[in-house]
Amino acid sequence: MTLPIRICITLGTRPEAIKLAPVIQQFQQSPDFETQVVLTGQHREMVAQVMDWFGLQADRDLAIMQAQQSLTDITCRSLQGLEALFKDLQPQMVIVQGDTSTAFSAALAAFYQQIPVGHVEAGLRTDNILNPFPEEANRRLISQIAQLHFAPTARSQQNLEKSGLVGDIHLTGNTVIDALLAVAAQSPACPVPASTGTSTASSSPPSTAARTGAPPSKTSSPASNRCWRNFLTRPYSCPSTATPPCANRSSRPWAITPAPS
Amino acid sequence: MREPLQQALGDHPRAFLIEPLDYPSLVGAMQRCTLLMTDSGGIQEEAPGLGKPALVLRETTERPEAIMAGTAKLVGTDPATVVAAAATLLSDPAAYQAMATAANPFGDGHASERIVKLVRAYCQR
Repeated sequence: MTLPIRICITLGTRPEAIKLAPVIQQFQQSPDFETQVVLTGQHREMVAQVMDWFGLQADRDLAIMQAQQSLTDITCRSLQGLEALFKDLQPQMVIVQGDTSTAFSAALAAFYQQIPVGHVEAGLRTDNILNPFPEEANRRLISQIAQLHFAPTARSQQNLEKSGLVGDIHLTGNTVIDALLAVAAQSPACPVPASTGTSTASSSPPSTAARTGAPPSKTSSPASNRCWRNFLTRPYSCPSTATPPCANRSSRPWAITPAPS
Repeated sequence: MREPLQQALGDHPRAFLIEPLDYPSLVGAMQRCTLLMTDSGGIQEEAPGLGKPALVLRETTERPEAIMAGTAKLVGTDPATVVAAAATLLSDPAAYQAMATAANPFGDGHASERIVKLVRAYCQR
């Protein structure tokens, strides 16, 4: 009997949680893996919402975030926290997602322990190192360290292929579509109140912030405002979305056919 | 942001200023929409997964895949251009269908399975 492969998945922000949730589920469903989920603690509450929805629990929480901290603080605290954690857990691969500073720190901490890194949503580029800052540099730096590069699109795959990287580049598609379709299949409630008589909204109360505050301003409205206010008065019919078009995953073509692995 | 927006919107019965939605509620709202108008990168990726045309109210995008695939249009921020693009989609079923059914450049919902398979193969070699 072979021992399960020890995988460590690190995340800190809501977008990382959304895009890694289906990946974590897949790892956890396979008996081949022993999966540890590590939170850095950047967006704790919003990450918890997503994790709850997908029925996931974190195994570790570094809680590195402090008020007013600089990028240097984030990187140093992540590196130190993850060094101890990776020494303890001894993962055979560390999975990071995207381009946050904690994703870069996790990749570097794994590299210092000579643990291979898998990078989800690799290969996005603007080719402007300062925009977005620091994400464009973070994703490029992760690409230099990672051994497995999971490209979401053909374009990102091409970006990686011309970057002179070590490791293997694979076109997988973007995991956000996996997460989106999983959520959409549950037909979640929509809290925006319907006021057109074509209600498909849930009974959730509207946000208290909606439609409160200032009265309409007729005198200060510039021409451009009138332009789109007129647009809002156009006849409107709510589309029938009782069956979401994505209910059947195969009903939507993917533009790319990934090579069989 | 809220003050000037609220003033511009007035009391229009179909315009709502709301707090950020949690993810399932956002998906629920997107499922119920006819088309999406956004400056968000994430929504440009998600719109074709739900079969919704996306109008991108920016001058540039980091996700040209959506524009090239035809699931999103870059319409900038000029009100007349934005209104014209939206009006076309609402009044021309062929234009709407072309965007709503264009192939999704971002994936097919099976990325996670591929990633797990690739990690297994890497770790076992």
